[in-house]
Amino acid sequence: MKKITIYLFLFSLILGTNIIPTDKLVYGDNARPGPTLQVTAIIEPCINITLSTDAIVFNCKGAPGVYNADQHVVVTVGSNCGNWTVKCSATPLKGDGGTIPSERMFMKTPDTPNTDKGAGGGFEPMSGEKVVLTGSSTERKETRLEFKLKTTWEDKAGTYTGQINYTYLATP
Amino acid sequence: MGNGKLRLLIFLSIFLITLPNLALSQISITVAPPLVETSIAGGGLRTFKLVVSNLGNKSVDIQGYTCDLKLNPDGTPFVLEAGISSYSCAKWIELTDDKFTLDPGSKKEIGAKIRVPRGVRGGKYAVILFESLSSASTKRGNVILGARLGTIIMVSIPWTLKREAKISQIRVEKAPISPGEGRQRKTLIQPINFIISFKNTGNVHIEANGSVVIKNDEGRIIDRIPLEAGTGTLLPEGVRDFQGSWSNPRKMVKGKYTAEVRINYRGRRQARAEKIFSIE
Repeated sequence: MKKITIYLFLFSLILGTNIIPTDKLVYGDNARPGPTLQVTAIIEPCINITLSTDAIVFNCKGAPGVYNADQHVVVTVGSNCGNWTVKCSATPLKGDGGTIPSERMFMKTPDTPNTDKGAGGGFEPMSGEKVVLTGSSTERKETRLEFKLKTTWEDKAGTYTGQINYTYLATP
Repeated sequence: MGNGKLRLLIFLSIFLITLPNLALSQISITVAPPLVETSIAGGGLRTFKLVVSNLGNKSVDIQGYTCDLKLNPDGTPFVLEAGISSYSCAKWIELTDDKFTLDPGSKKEIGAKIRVPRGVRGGKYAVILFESLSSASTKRGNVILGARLGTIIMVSIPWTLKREAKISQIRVEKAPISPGEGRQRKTLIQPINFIISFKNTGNVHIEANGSVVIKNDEGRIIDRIPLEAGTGTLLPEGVRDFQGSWSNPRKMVKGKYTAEVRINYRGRRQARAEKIFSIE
């Protein structure tokens, strides 16, 4: 027991002598701050657009009518600068049988009014450019878009291909 | 656990882990910076770098090209074919690489060069668009989805800038009231909306902000309404609609008023115009 007490005493003595000079070295009167390193972070402005899929398909099996796309599209936009707008536009669908005008493709966003323009409540014809999302800096926004296609007896059987573009521009 | 069951479990685990990647063919493109505003003297040249990144899980073919820029009266931008607008610099821009493929997670630095011809004046504008086309474009019967991201280019040619603008129209309208609000507001006066069309008659873009000062029939100022128009940017020949609403029931009493619109745009003087209206 006596030995342990002596060891403990010696240990605390050694520890104490180690701490005291170190403390003096750091906070002593003659101490000067060491060299400092200035850190600068430059975050460049940038914009990002994400589409949940790269293509949609309208499987029009049966009599002419209104057909849903095989899936909806989620558009997500991120920006760390200024105001921005995302617009959507469609090209006509072209195939061996002719052309289906873009007005017969319909799109529904969560914000469109629930009026029926030929393809059910909330679906608007894709003529011209439509604003689908707007926002301001440092936010990430997303919207869910649904699509429908209206076919008529004049549309010949066949495979038609087209394109829907989402254009992101900053608002200057 | 038997050998067969273990194999099935391993197969299912791998399938479930890779399922999201198999199912999603998403497009995710980033462009930096979204706006380049610069001043270049006639005959001068400026180069800058744009970075395009593919954050999606598939390779994408990217095409870069230039277009003209216009702004709607609500400030939303839209693109036109290059060289249509009289304030276009789309055809002065050269890209070091206008067609390339980006693998998932990769990025590419594109150099852009603007060469300003001698003798041109004012501000010139364009958009550099980067358009993605995925491999789905090869499949017939698909409606292909494409993303286009634009970098707006605004070039000012120093010592040739003319900042001029005018108020082209003041509309004063009663604000529409919803049915529920109408029942509560039976005895109250409807708010008044002001829509002011402001036209840039100079040769360079301007940033404007303003207010409407309401004066009573004795000419005394009784209220001031700030006008909203986002950034308030107008390109040359462009019109921007500024909006404000007067809905102060304590100050809105029946009578004749004058709305004096004051818009600042860093021009030689503030743009001012008046319109008389009444509350009945």
